[in-house]
Amino acid sequence: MRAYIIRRMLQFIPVILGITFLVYSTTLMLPGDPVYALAGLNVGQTEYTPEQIERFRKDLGLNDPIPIQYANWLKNAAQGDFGESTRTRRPVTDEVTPRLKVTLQLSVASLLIAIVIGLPAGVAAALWRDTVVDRSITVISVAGVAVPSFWLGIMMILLFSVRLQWLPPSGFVSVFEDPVRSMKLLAMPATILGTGGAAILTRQTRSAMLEVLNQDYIRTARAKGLSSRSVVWLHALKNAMLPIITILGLFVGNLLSGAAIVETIFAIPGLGRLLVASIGIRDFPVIQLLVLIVALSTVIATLLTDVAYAMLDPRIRYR
Amino acid sequence: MNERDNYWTRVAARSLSRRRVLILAGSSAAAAALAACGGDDDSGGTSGGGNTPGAGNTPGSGGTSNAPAPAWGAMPAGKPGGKATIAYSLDVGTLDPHTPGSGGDSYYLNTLFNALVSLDQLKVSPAVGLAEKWEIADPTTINFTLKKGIKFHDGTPFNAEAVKVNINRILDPALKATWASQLSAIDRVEAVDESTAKFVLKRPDAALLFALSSTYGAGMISPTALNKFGKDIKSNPVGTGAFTLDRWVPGSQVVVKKNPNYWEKDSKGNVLPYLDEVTISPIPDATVRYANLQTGDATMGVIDSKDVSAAEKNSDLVVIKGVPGAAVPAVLHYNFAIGPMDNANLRKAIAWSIDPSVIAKNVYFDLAVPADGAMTTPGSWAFSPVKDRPRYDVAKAKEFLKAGGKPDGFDMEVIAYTSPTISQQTEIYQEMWKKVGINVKVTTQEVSAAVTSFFGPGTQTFPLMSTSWGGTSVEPSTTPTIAWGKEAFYNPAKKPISPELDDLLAKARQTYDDAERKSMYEKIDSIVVADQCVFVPLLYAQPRYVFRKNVGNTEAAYYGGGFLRLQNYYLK
Repeated sequence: MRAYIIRRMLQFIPVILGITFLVYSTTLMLPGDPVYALAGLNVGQTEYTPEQIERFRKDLGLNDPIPIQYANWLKNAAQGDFGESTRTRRPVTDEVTPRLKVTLQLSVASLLIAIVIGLPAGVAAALWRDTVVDRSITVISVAGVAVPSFWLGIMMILLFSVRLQWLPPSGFVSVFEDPVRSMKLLAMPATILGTGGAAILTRQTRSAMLEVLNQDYIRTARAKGLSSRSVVWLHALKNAMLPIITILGLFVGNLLSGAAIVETIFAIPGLGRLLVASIGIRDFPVIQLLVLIVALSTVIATLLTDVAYAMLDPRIRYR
Repeated sequence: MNERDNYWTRVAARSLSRRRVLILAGSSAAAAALAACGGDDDSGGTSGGGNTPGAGNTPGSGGTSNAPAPAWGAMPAGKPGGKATIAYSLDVGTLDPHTPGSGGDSYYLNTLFNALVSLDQLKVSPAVGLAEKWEIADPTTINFTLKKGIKFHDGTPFNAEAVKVNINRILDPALKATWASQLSAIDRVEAVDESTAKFVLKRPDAALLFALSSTYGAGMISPTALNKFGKDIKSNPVGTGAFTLDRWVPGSQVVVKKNPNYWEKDSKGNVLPYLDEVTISPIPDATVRYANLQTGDATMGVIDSKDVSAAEKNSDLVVIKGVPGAAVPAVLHYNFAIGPMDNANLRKAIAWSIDPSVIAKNVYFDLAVPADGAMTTPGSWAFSPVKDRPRYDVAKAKEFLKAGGKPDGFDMEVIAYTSPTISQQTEIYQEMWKKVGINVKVTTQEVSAAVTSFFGPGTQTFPLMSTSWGGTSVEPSTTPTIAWGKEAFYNPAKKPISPELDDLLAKARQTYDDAERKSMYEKIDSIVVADQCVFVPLLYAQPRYVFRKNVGNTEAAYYGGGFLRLQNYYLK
């Protein structure tokens, strides 16, 4: 098992290198002169001479070939130095770390919501296949995938905050600081992110369960006289887990990047909102680290998925 | 008339529906990104002009504003106590007043810091400054007499030595201070005695006093704190302002607490500020900001034009009009080195064929008014309308076409930047130009790409940019300095607009006499906007500030550009 995990991890190293190189080079290739962004110059506000601009360019190493610039960046990044944000002039890691904690809280909450809603709904749809239950769950989950999060977000705020006054409209408080207010503030954004995942999870669980429920061993289990509950939740669901885990892995990988819109609407100081703001003002050092984090989170989620496969299905780990 | 209304309503409806789609599709993300570029939600903003201080600091009874300025002296004394939350559109990047990066930083910095000079003494509006008075000994020597007994939050006395330390820090090239160039005329500061700071200049600079009047760029930091915190001063601000920093959660909120030793007093001699605590929350989405105001989660805030009429009808809220020109949402910016816009008559034909009132109504829901001047804030001391500036007159536009040798019109390519309002208004221009025979193809690029394409460096191909400008300024040299000089960054042609203009611009900065300055800028405005027609502001936006009805002294929003004068608000 350990050998398997190590093998998978080693395979991800070239993936991460490839991603960082692409991120680094594409940010430089965007339209607009990166010297303004990287030197933190306010275009037009300050009257820099062409000579000064040229000096900044040289200081920042922007005249070097891109592979060399990348190698320098990688060398510093390996030591935890991702440069300074051009907007705030603080180390990028100082900017990103507090926001990572925020996005993680939001992600965990949405993941829980996705699982709590998605799994039972999928199982129910499979058990009562082609009945009213199945059809309603199908309609709701299709709607859950189709409804855009920004629309849902605004509608929820108008209903739950402005009309009913149950929840505060926006903001964020850490769950470790004030659990009650934190739950109130996270309720809407986590539900929006979570229901999107729940919808996909429901669809996947339904089809995986349907396939499993028709297998011979399920019939055998039922014939042995096992309770229906244990047949469904132990025997069937465990075997239907592989495709479900795949979807969950993808969902976790997407959570960080998908949170951008929800975080912007609910004024949550997370990674997604930082990414959007940084792109708007060309804060390259911040963008580079954030894309790296998104890439890493996807890679880690994939790795965890693979490990879960191996745990659930011995055939995979011995291959 | 009716027919025309219907026509434009149709054009606007078409682009409006697209706007709605754009807003929804990009979600608030697009708005947030744009806002971050330096303008506010309404104006977008291609320029650092959004950073212009004082843009909203003016009483503006004149100009195109229809609201008389509220009387400052009549503001009653308030009641101390209470907490308030501001729902603001922009986040803060740094709390170091010498290196702010976006216009949004002003509100945050102004709670914590004071500047040396008061705008009041600049005949603009009652405001606060740390200097009692100053005397221009000769064109290159200014002696500032400082107010006595003022202390920074950490107890360090504010004195001439502190002024010297602050100015030296701004002038240090290693800091890359935001206002290094605005203060570049200063050669050195001498601390003559405890309360006299002598500024020795390299050259006369009439715009210097204005630059020293803004906390954004030139707020005074405690020298002790500068020593103690070094580079970390940006998250440990220590000023002389009405509030002290309690905590700053980046992206979420800045919480400030009453400075019990603040030096400013109200009309009855009570100590300011009234409020015990203020939270400034950046909320990028306009609808959500408005929701916060409706629920009372926010005490005051800025909202989008689309929500204004709802806010005015809401009995829990009070809406205060700001100064016109706080933003300039529609500007024709020409590159007069590129044909066909190298022909002054054709430039005029372009400008005279546009009816700004249509755009004010359909794009800005009448929260903007047609501009009648140039880039000085309407109502401020240096403002005068520009007499022969472009107005909407199709017959005149056709005459200019004839005079320019293109009686049947011409084809041209125009650049615009990605923004719902810019797209909408450019589309309306297009229809208007078509009516006089000018066929325009519009290229839209993301904002910083568009700025580079139009202003360089690199190949420039566009003769005209449909854009916006951060705001007008109470200092008449602000826009001319960054856009009208022959080497200014925002002069896309990089050559003189007219033979005498650069001379005039230089002279206007060298005299300290207001009457003389005013008449010089009248001449400059008239050359640039009317005669040469290379930079034409079409609209002045008049922002709206929203308060819960239990907030007192909301009139201060007019003078304070919204929430700059936070010390004057109180809870009833």
